[in-house]
Amino acid sequence: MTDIRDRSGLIARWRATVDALEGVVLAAADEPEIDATEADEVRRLVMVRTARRRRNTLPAAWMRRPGALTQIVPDDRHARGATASDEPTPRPPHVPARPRLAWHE
Amino acid sequence: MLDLMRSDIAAGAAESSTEAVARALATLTPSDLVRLKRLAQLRARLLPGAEWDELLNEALLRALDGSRRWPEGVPLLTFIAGIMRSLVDGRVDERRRRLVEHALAGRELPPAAPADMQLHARQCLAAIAQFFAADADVLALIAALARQYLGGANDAAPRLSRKRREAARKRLARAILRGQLDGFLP
Repeated sequence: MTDIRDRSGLIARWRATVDALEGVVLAAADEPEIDATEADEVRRLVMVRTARRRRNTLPAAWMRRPGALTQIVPDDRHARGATASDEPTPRPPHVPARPRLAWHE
Repeated sequence: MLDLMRSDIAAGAAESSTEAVARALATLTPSDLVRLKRLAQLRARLLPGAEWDELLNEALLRALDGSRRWPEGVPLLTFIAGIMRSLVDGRVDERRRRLVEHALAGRELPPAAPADMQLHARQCLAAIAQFFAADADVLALIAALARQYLGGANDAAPRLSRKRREAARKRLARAILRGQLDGFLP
């Protein structure tokens, strides 16, 4: 792709050079000397991407739907009535302190 | 190199492109993975400031979300390299469009090309010439191959005999695959 605005032709030449070098890499039959760290780095990148794809393609039936919980545990708040959301939470009745036993003294 | 094709991976016609890509990616050898990194590094050099891992990540995303389909008969690495190429081309076009719009809004003449890209291209070409300064055969091969991509001569390095051309190609491939060339580029 030669850009007519790239008057010096440098960008087009550099792009053609990259295309050429890419072709050499793809066609190279020799196994390169592997730096395990580099291979692991790319492996991690690939694994992260593949794992995200797996998560995104879970069957719809596996996804949490609104209201799904109430099908399992019926919502009986209305049946219980009474407690409005702005009412303070009832506290447990006051338990008077027990008199200390005589043998503790 | 595994040189995986979609037909090697797909269990049946019903298997989608994305499933085939995911399975093929899982079987890549360390050698293939390093090759993938070199391809991303080379392509990212077309955009000053671009990072190879971001480019590769985006290419994998397109291959795995199905927005790019893996055609039959195309090796996986060629497919991923093609996605990276079109991503970079898209970004280059976008930068040029923004520059032109900016210039037109200010009633100026549109610039010839982004100045940073021209400078970067000049520096990269000079770095390659310097890296292979002692190997005239490799430089002749690169120039001939690049001419083919520019739509020029068809014969790769016509000055070289077949034996010398193949030897030069091996030396060039080794320098790229070992990461020596990338380390030398600006």
